[in-house]
Amino acid sequence: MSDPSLIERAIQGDTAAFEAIVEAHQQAIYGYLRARLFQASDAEDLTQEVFLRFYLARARFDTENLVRPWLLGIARNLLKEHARKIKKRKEIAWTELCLELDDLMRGAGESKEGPYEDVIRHLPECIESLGPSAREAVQLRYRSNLRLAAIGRKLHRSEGAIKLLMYRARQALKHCLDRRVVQSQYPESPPS
Amino acid sequence: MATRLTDAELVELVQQKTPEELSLDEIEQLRTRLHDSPDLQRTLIEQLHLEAYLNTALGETRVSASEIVRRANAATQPKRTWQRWLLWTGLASLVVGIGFVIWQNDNANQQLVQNDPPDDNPPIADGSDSNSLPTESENATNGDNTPTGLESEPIEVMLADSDPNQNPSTAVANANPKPAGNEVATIKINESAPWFDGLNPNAVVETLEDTSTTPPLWVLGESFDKKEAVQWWKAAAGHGLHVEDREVHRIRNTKLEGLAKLQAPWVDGAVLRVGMFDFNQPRFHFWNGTDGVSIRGYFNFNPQSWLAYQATRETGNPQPKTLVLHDCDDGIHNRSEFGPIEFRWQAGELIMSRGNIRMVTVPMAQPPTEVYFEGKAHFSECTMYRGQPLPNEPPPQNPRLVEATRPADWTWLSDQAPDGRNTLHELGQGRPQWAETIAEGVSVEAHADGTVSLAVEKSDKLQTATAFAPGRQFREIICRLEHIEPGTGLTLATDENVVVQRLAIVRDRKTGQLVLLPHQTYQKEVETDLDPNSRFSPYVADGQWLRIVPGFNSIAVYTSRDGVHWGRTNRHPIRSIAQRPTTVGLFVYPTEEPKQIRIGHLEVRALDAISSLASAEVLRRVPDWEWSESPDDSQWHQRVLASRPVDVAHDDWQRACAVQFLRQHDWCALSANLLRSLIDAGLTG
Repeated sequence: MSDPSLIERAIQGDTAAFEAIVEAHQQAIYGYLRARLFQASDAEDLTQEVFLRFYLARARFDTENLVRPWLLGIARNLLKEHARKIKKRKEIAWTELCLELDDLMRGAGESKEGPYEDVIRHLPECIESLGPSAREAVQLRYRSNLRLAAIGRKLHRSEGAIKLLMYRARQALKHCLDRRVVQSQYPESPPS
Repeated sequence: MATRLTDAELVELVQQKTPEELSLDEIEQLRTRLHDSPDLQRTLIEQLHLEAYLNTALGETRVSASEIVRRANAATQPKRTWQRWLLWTGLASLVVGIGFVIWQNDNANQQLVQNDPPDDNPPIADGSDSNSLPTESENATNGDNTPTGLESEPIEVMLADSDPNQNPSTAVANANPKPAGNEVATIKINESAPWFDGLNPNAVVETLEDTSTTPPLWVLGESFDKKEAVQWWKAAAGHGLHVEDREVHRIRNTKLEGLAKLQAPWVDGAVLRVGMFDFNQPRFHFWNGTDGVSIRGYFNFNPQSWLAYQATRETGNPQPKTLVLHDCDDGIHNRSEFGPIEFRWQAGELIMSRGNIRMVTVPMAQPPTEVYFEGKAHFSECTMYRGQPLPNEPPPQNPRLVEATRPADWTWLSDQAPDGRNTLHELGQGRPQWAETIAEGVSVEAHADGTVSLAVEKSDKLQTATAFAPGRQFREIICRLEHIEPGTGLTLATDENVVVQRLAIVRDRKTGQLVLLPHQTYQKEVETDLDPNSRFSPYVADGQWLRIVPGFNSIAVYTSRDGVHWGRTNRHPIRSIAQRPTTVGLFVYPTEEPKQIRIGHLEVRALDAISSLASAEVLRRVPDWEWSESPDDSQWHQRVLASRPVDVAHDDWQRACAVQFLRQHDWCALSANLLRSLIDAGLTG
């Protein structure tokens, strides 16, 4: 989303432009939050809240900046607030660990989302390249938000087998993404 | 802290586990070592990125921009009002102050004593502090359904009553005996009851146009809190109910968990409207006597769906004893998303709808006298009003009947002869009534009423008899199973009598009910453990209708109790079906005890959607080519180009050849390409 006129129009209160911004960024914001929260419903609620705060504070947005980093900043602040409300210690610990990692990444000057556009473009192909069971397990885990035990019941496998399957699937996805992102950044190696 | 892990072990841990799998102790160790171990940092960051990417790509969230704008406006509006109020109050104070000074100067010797009027209003009693509520029987007071503490004069309203003339002619041909009618024709409702406005005799009958476009309460920024919820729903006698106030984005809703009875009466033309989210196995039970309807949400997997069952119960028990699948929303809930759902009884049917879209329809001879909610859900609204009936929707039916409807009129085949030979042979030899033994203790019989049965005394082999239906055109098969037992079922076969799939009737151990499930290879078990959390529960009974729609490489199975309303039996079609079935048969699993299955209706109807994409006249001119098992695109194109008659346009000829290939050939890679191109051509006109 880099159309300055769209952002300008959203700032001026054009609902259609705001809708377009929501449409373009909602998945990224949800993905960021979901990775840092144990409950999918919390991630959904906070995603709504991110856009609400964006809308309320849109007048302060500098159109020279990109929208996604700004939204991610809001998401991060919301995460901090949310961590104070969570009651389960394990969930608090995980969210705080993620916030510390975010700080480390910012300190190192690393983009919060890495090579986001490239990865998101190539991820479906990489998921497609997994074996059928691994692909289904990944879909059930991330699309249906199922826990491993439930995935095991669905695929008629033990929980341990699903853990192993998911581990291998994640490794395969990482390798596939590394390969494809590098290829897309350096499409042709220079002639020797 | 149990075991101190090394950095290398922590790295391995992060790679092997998803965040939720990590224990608190492990997460704490990661936090402790995070700043000192670059390897651990890198691994954690990589994992966190991957989790975020996967959730971005696969996770499903739906942010409503218009809702955000509305909420943002609602959030800023009070502020502006408050500011305006402050301004006016300040100005008024200034004016009053100046006036007071002037007045004081003019009336220095006068004194004014004025007391504020006493506050006659009694303190408002708060609702119960407890989250566990009294049961409805504890609150019942002489038929007055209003909550206690509301003291206005009750008025009488007519309860809904059935009109025998309104019963749908097609429905419930073999319905249960007539259930009890409403014993009380009128009921008193209190003016202070929350349903008074909507249900009193003078209440306006809301038009469908208005109600179907009314936005959900939460979109309007309205709350539905516990205090209101407990007026509508109370714990069913002998059951627990947990009620809790929740807040999402500063809008309150109420979490109900347990078994609750609706307190409002079901008056003539009543519509129950509920907005819900965050469900866990939600069920609505509608009873009149011991007969009723149970509508259940299956929300743990996509597409999220509602299934509707005809139900029976033991007297006074709010939960069903038996269920038979009648209808399914076919994913409408999933597609229509967040709006409230509505229930209404009209013309002998209980209908669940969203807006003006029917989701499920189940015959119910009498209007409900008791309504229960079971399970867990957050209620964002609950109301009742008098509404217009939904328009009747004629059930879609493919007009062209290919084969007859009396199973006994069909040709039946068996692949087993009494002499033990496995050769295909015709049963009955065209006689109207016949009975043949196809193996020792195994007989097939055509009865005078047109039904056909397969009976097995005892057999160590799976026994099958199939109705013969020549031709390979696209078609759907509709049948009714008159008598079923666990360990029997329906065979789906091609015109060459090749069995491609079986639908087995087995008994669910937990409920004792019969269910229809796709047969698994080597399956012999006649019982199963059905987990309603993970799969549909297609409970079936004698007289069950089935509709089999063979697709490309898949089969969709629908079921019905009346042959009019149909719902899917499985969340997804049965896939990986290499050959398209054109007919059905009966089967019985190997058994030590006598078993029988009987089919009472069997028809095949043409499916014309694909065929209609090509001209019938051109189709007739396509040669009957012989193809290898997996012909490739170039081979097909060569033949099509070489054979085109001069008077037929290239596109028309190619389309006709594609239709003919799909009709005649089993599924292969070429089929997928041809189907795609046909659909593209069909869509573009």
